Amino acid sequence: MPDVTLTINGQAVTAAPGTLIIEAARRHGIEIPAFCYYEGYSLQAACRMCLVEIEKNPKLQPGCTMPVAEGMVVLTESPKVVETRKAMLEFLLSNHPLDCPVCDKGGECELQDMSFRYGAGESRFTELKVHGEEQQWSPVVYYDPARCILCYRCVRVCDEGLGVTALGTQNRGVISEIIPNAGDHLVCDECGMCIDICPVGALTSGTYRYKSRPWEMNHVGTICAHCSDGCKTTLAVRDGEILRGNNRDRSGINGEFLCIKGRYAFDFVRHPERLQSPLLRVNGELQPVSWSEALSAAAAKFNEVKARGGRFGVIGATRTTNEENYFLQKFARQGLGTANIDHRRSGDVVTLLDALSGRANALATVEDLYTAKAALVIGSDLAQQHPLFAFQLRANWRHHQLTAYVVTPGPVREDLYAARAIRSEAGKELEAAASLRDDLAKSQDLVILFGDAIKGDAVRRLVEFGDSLGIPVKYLCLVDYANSRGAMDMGLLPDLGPGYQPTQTRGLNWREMLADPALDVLWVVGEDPLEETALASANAFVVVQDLFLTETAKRADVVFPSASAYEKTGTVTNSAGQVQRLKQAAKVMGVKPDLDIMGLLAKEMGLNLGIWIPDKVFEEIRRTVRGYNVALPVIATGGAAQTGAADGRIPVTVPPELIRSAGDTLFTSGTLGRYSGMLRSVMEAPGTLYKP
Amino acid sequence: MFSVVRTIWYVLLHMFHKRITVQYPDEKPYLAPRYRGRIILSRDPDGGERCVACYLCAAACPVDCIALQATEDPTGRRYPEFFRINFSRCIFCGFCEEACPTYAIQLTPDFEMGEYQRPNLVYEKEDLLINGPGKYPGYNFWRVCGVQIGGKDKGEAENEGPPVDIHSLLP
Repeated sequence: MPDVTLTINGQAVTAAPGTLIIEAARRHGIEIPAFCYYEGYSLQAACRMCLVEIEKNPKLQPGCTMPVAEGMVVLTESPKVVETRKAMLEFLLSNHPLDCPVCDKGGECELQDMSFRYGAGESRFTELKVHGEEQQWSPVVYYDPARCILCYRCVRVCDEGLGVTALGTQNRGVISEIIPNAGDHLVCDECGMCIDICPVGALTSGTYRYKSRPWEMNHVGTICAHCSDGCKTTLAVRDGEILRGNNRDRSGINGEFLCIKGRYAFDFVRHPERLQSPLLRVNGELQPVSWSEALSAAAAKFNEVKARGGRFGVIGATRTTNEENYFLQKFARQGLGTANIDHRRSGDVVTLLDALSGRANALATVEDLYTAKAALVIGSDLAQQHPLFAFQLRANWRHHQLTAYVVTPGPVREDLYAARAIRSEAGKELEAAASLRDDLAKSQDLVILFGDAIKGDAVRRLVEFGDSLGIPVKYLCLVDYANSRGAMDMGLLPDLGPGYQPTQTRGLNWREMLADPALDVLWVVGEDPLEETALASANAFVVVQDLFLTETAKRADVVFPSASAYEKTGTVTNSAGQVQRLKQAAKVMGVKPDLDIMGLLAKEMGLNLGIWIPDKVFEEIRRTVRGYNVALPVIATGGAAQTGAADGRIPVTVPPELIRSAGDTLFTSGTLGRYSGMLRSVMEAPGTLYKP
Repeated sequence: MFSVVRTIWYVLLHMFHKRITVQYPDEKPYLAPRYRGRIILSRDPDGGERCVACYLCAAACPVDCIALQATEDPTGRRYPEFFRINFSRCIFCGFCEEACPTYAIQLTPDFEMGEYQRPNLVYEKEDLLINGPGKYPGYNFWRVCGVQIGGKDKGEAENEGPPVDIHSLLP
C-alpha cells in the first residue's frame, strides 16, 4: 500500500498506512504527550493525554490508537486540546499525594513535566483523597498506590516484554491498584523493567530509594560487567559511588532492556571485602604492602625464573578488557617467553569460526535476533542465562511473528511461544535438532543459538546441518561472561594467538598448568581456577590480580588489587562478537586497572612491551588482530561494532572437556555474584536452570 | 563665586542634620525580617525536622555551597543524613529558600558570622537546625502529603480519606 499523507499542525507528514498518529508525529518532531502509550507494547488508551483534534471529527481522538488516514488534518496543540489535557491532568492529580519533594521520581517524572507544561498545579477537587498503603514487593521493588496513575505500562512490559506476567490489576475505578503475583510480594525475574518504565513514582527501586536525585548524579554509559550479552547500562554516579543503573536513553544494543544484574548488581564495587592494597606473603602470611614492594617482589621472581628457563603458567580472565587480554598474552609470549596461556572457556567459538572458515554474514548479531524469521535455541535456558537474547527473541515473536524452535534438556520460558519445543538429553541435542529439519527448511532464514552443549566436532556437524537446510543460517555461540568472547579473540589460548593465528608451539592449557608439578610461576589475572582444581606444584610462586581474596588469591604469594569493569576504560566483546567501550564510572581507593598493573610489572622487569594506555593498545589491536579493524567513531560514541570473522580455517582441535559453561542463572554471576549483596538478597526466585 | 557660597551654605546646613553613623557593635542596626543573612533549618510545629532532603536547594545554589545526603528513618520519613553549608562560599542570594518545597531552609536577619578560621564557616546540620518554624509557622509537609511515616498512616493526612481494602468487594 502506498504511504498516506496527512497534515499535523500544518506540517505535511507522510507515513506508512497503519501508523498511529502519535508515532507519525514523533517521527516528525512533534511530541504528543502520553503516559500509557509505549512504543513496542500493546495499546491501552487509558490516560487520555494524547487526545488530538482531527478535522471533521466531532470529538477529540486518542492519538495513540488512531491510525493515520489520507488527507487527515490533525491539531495537537490547539486551544481545545490544551484545555482538555489540563482537565485530564486535573483528573490524574485528583488523588495524587503531593509528595514530589520526597518522591524518588522527582525531577524525571512525566507527570511533573506535564503539570509544568499544562499548568494543572492547582486542584479544584474538595473530595477526600483515597490513598493505598505503600508496599514492598521484593528487595528491589516498592509500590506506592497513591502515586499510581494506572497507565498499565508495568503490567504490559512484564507480561508482553518479559513473559513473566508477575503484575496485574485489582479492583475498579479510583481504588484500583497494581498487584503482584504472589499476593503480597513478587516472584519474578526482578529485572526492574516495571520501575524503569513507570512514568510516575509509583514503582521505585529498593537500591536507589531515598538516596539521591537525578540531577545530582553523573550518568555514565558503560557495558554491564556480568554476562556476555553486552547490554549497555547507564550508571548514575555521585562522588565516585554508583547509585543506580538503567538505560533510559535506549542507547546500546539492548535498547532499555536490563536484567537484575545490569540494573542492580553493581554493589560488588563497594563490597567491604574488596581488596584495596597489594598483599605480599611474608613468613607464610599475606600482608598489605606498598605497590612498589609488591611489584618488585613479583618482577624479581619473574626475572629469576625467566633467566633459568623455568616454567610459567598464565591464566587470563573472561571479565578483563580486550586491551588487558591482548597485553597479557603479549606479556606472556614476548615478555616471559612462554606459550602456557589460557583462560576458562565456556563456548566453542574456535571450532565455529573454523567450521565457517571465514564465511561472511554467518555470525548473528543481537539485531539479527530481532529480525530473523526463525530461531533455533539449543541447550540453553536463554531467559536465565542470556536475558537480552531471550528478550530480543520474544520481541521478535511479538512484532514479527518469529517461529522459534527449542531443544533443551528441560522446560524453558521460550516454550510458551515456540513453534516446537523438544526435550533432549544432554549430548543428544544435535539428533533432536535434526528432527526439526523439515520445519526449519521452510523458513526464509534462521538463527541458531547454541550453548556449551554443542562443542568440538558437534559444532562442525551443526554447521553442516545448517548448510544442508538451503536457507541463510546465522550462528551465535553463547559464552558466559562479559568478555569471554574477547578473551578468545585476543588469543588467551595455548595454541592460538590474537585473531586465532596458530602459534609455533602449543602451550599447556589451564588444567595442565595446574596439574604440572614442575610449574614455577602461576600468574592469574582476574580468575579463580583454584576454586575447583588444586594446584599440583607445591613450590609455585603464585601472582594474582583480583578484586577479592578468592580461593586462588588466598594461595597467592603476591596479590594485586585490580579495578572492576565499572572502574576502568577499555573495550569488551559480547557473545555475538560486538565490540563496545567501557567508561569509567566508579572510583575505588587503592586499586589499579589490570592493564596498569601489567604495564608497571613489565616496566619493573625491564621489558619493553609498548605503551599501556587502553586507547593505544586498542589501536594496536585494530592493526594486528583479524576482524578487529572496526570503525572507531562507532565505538567512541557508545555504539557496538561488529567484528569480522576469522578469515580461513583455524587448524586446531579443541579438547571438548575444556569447554564448560558455569551455568549461571539470573541471580548468580560467578565470583562477582558472590560479592553482590543485591543478587544474593533475592530469595524468592532461586533461579534454577530448567525449572520443572 | 556663587558656587563657593552655595557650597559653604550646604556645609553649614549639614552641621545641624541628624547623624547617620551607627555605633556598631555597641548599637545594633534594625534589619527587616526578610533580610537575607545566616541560613537556618527550621522545624515543623510538631518539632520534627522540616527538611526532607529533596536536594532542590543544592540544585538552586549558584555557588554550590550546600551539600547533603538523603536517608530515611525506619518509619519511612525522609530526612538529611548530613546537611552542610559552607558559608565561606555562600553569597546569601536566597535561592535555596525560594527553592525549598517545605519551608525548611530560611535566611535570617543575622550577619554576624565572622571567624578567624575558614573551616569554622562550614556549618553542619546541628549548627543550622533551630527549635522553631522560623518565618512560616503552622506548616508541616508531612501533614499535607500522602506518604505514610511514623505517627501518620495513610489516610490521616489533610483532606485524605481512609484507605480502601482492595481485596474486599465493597468499596
